[in-house]
Amino acid sequence: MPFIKNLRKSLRVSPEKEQKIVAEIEQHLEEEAHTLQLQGKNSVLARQESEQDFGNAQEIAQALNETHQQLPQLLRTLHLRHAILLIALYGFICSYTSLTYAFFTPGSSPAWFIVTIPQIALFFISAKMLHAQKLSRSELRKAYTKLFVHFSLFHALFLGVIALFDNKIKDILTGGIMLRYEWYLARMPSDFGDAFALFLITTTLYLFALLAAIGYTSISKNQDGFLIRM
Amino acid sequence: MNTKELLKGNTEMIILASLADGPKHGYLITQWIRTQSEDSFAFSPGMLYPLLHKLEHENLISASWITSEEGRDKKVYQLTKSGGNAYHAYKKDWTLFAKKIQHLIS
Repeated sequence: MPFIKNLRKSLRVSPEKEQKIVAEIEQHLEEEAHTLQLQGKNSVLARQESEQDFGNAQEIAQALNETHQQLPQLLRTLHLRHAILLIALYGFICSYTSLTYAFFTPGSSPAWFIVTIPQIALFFISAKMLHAQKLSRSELRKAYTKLFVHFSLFHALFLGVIALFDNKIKDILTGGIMLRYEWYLARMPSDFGDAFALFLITTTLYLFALLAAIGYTSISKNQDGFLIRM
Repeated sequence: MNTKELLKGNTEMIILASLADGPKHGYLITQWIRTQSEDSFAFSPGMLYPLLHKLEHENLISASWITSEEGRDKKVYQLTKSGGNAYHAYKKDWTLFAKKIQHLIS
């Protein structure tokens, strides 16, 4: 029942109201499907036709949200995925700053390699989360965004675990980034070249991991859309 | 005849009219509109339900859940007192409007 699933995803009302709205719409879909079956259509086609006839689930949910709105407009447009994306972005920024700091701090380079290699492994494991086939361009974009989010969350969690044992990274993750901005500012003019080189190396490493994951998941395009083979 | 343009601004009156002769659930309302207008007007369910909820919020209609003979729960709408008054006011305004237009074009 993709229509109901899409409707639920887009509704921004309380759980009790959502249940009642879905029950009412489900009732309508069943009535219409029943009528179509009496006209000779099979149950699956009748249901599909009644869902198509109902309209676009997202637009209907939007109209219902406007009618039932209790939250301010901004909060009604926010979704859990926005919060998750922010966490993922934070995890990503943390990783860059922690790697930069670890690399430039005397005696810490082994930690840099230790952190990077499992990240790549985690990226490939996260790629297993792509199970869909025959995706449209926007669905493909969403699938890889989801992969990025999962990767970044695992990454942040992994660094968090290391933080329990490595005081330097722990220092950074728990606010050391902001407290050490003077360190960055002092070093930047003289070590800018090294820092930029490190930025490029790390970015290349992440891009390499992403491309490898794309190759690993074997995307191809045909007339039906993007096909992902796991 | 461009019925879509004619429908704009009159959708709420049509829904109230559909409930004037008794309570109905959403599917029955769409069927009523289709048959009474001889297939000239068709309310898509996607258009109907947000309007029904809006009218319920404005206390022009009320809703209740009943169990049908087949044992299914159905949400049924009916006119409230304010809804009945609003419908009669709409009908009066529309009748006068139609009379004036008829006078202009004839």
